[in-house]
Amino acid sequence: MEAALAEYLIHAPVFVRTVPGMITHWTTGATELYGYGWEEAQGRISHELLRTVFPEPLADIDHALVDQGHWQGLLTHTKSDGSTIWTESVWRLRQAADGRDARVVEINTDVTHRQLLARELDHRVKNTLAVVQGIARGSFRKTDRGDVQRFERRLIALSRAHDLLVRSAWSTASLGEVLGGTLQALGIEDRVEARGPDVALAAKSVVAYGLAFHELATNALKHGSLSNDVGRVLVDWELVGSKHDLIHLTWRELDGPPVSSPKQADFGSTLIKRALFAELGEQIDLRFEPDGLVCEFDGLVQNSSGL
Amino acid sequence: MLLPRGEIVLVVDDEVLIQFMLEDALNEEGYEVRVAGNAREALEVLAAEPRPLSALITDIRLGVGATGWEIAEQARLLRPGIPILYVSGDSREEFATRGVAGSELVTKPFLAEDVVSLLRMLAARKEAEGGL
Repeated sequence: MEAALAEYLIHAPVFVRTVPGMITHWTTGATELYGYGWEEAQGRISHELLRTVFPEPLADIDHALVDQGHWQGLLTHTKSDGSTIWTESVWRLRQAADGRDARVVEINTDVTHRQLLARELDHRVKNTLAVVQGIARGSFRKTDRGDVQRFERRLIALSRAHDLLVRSAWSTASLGEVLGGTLQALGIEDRVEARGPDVALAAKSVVAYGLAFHELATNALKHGSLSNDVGRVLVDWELVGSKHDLIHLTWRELDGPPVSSPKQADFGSTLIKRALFAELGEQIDLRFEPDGLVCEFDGLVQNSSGL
Repeated sequence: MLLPRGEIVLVVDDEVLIQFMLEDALNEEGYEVRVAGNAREALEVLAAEPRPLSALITDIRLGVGATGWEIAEQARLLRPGIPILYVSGDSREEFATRGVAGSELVTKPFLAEDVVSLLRMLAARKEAEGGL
């Protein structure tokens, strides 16, 4: 049993490095994965040797590593033969008793096959959404073009949420990224102030948040505070609950034209309530105040670190 | 704004409904449209169409045969300076290294109106540069 475990560990693709990246230990498994032997890897900066492509700036990753003691994410590495692979990378910081000589244990699992499948799925989903647009355009030729465009923009919002999930291998996306993507697509990022901690959303919530932000933003542009030149939106969120496992989010329109509650719920507000309610299981408070629409809800956090 | 009457755009996509959507939107804007479902058909149009082509809109992944990247390269050889617009679901990362000079890429799904705007921008750029 012990021998089998030792054999297994030898073939695990692991290396140890300093925080800046100098390789100090290199397993047989790492050689098998990357094609570089210990002689070639020893003393090299791992990110240079493997031509690592990071999902976010390395300085931010190192900051999270030192702060939390671990980091996990999807990387691309280049092997000795020049081919590129995707790896699910787990980093653990190990500090010596005297606080010096910190080392990073880096475990890299080859997920290239999974990523290729995910990309193929992504391609097919996007093509299917574009085909649905074609069907809509043909089916509603006599309908107001504005209505069809609203439908198409919802499809695009859905696609944007899908993009974020594909980038993280369907694991998570940050609340800030989901909100930022929506605002950027509509060109209103300079009129919306976002305040809140970095929060990782569960994969199943990403689409709901994406669609809800799209509806809130397009409503603000058409009827609410962004329909004039001076109005703005404040979006703030905080972690609440005894374990900080809930997000309390408020979308508040400010300085907009006077609004009143519509006599009949339109599809947009129904979508906000139902999409969020179905995914998050919490009641949504959607109310029309004199300054503009306010939407408040509590949602579940994947966990605050995103791991 | 004057509609571009008589200008011809070649649309290459292996999905009939996406062909239809683009053709419909471009027709509404006054463009004539030639459609192709694969690289072979696209190259036939590029080689045989007697009138000037105002632009090529091509999907990247076309099932069998050459990709949109390769069609665009051939188009530039056959019709120097032709404006190129790629449409793709998943190829934005490759665009920087594989897109031909002066081209643009729009990701699926897209608003047909955005495609028309990009075509106008490409046409204006070509005119400003006196052809690529």
